[in-house]
Amino acid sequence: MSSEGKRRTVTALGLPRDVVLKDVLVDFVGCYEVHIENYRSILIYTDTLIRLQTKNGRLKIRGSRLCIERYTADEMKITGKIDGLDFEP
Amino acid sequence: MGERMGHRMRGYVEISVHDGLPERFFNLCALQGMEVWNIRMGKNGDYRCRVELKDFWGVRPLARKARVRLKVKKRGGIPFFLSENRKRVFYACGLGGFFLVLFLMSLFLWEIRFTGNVRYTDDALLYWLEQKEIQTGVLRGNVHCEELEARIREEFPEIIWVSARILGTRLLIQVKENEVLSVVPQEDTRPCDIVAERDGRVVSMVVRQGTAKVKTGDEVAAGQVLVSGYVPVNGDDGQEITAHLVAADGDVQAETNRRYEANLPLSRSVRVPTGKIRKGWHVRAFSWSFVILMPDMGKGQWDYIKQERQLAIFPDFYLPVYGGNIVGREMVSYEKSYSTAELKELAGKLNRQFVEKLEEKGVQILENNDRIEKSVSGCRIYGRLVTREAIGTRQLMTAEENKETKAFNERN
Repeated sequence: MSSEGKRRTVTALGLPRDVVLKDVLVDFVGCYEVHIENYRSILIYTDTLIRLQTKNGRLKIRGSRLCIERYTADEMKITGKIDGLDFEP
Repeated sequence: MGERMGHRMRGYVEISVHDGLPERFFNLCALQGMEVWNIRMGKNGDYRCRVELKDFWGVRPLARKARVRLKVKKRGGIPFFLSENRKRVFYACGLGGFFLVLFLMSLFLWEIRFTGNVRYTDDALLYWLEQKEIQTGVLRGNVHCEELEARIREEFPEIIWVSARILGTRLLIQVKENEVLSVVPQEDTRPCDIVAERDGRVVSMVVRQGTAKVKTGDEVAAGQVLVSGYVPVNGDDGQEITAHLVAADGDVQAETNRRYEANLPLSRSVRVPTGKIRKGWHVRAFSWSFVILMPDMGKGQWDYIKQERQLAIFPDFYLPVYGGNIVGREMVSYEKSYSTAELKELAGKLNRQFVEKLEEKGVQILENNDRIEKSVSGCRIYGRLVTREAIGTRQLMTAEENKETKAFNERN
């Protein structure tokens, strides 16, 4: 089944997409804290840019004084002044 | 918070990561199940991160794999603290002694708190507990909550539910009092008269039992019988054949006069704050107390307000140490004479208090006059009220009256 087909099936069945499709889960707490789950690895880390690899693409977090407060295989917590978040295919 | 505590308990190392591929190094650490935290850019372009002490030796092969160089920048947590201070015997003894004292303190009760009590005050309950040798400072092991609950229920009949429990160094006693009357008042059926409580003029009268001795419009004096409990039975010739003694019952309303009077001196002593304030602190433990207070430069009178709180290390771990702040205000006193406005205000206040007291008793106020008289020796505030109220009160018949009635009945 194609990726689009899987997505439609999961939506139709009302299943959680982050569990079935491993979609990245991003929780913001204001613009100074973000919790991310379902990622694979860190591609780039500087204090102004963090780029992460996820199963379905890449995630780019822009900001200043960025710090990874916690980093495990399951989740990470980023703090600092967050200016924006981009999804890259 | 808990996570940080865990890191400190297990010990951690802050490392500087430079050269090679730092991101790969962090990814490898995460994949190996190692927790890496506080990753940030250093000032020299290197990366800083923290790993737990147990993971530190495991990160070296990963560093080789990611071709990065590691440098330990900081070590923290309990394992390093113990290692650094292993030769400080007195320090360790002090620390150990501190925890020993804490442990010993935790064996005793240092606070007793009641909740839910309205009829029985905290002081009354505490006094009762003291009689039973339960007070602050007793061993927790000597207090048996179930037994205590049973004894409280026995001793205080109005307490219908009680829960006693020991939390930390506190004894918490929760009670629920009876909100309805536990005993239905029994009607007194002993023979009695209704007599006047005070002088007045009868304005209404309802007799339910007994013989009326006065009528509406009569002037009565205090102690006069209004309704008699002696009920005669007359024959056809009008002669008294026999008599019954009953508990007289009825409502007698009368117009009465009430007076009040207050004598005041021409002037009174007034204390006012000068604005000077002294602040300080105090500590109290057992019978020992210590006060730190700013020195008194003048010779004024000082009023002190002390706020005291009991020291608690944790919410339920109270210690017998009390502390708080003291605020002292300098006061100056002088003689001030009453002005007319002040006297009027005072007279009004006295009058209001008197009227409120009467109204609480169900007395109706018909007229209310007050007056202020000034003389050389002082002021006199007096008031005269005309009121309407129930003046009847029960007075038991004497044994002689009972005996006479019995003898009379036997004769007939």
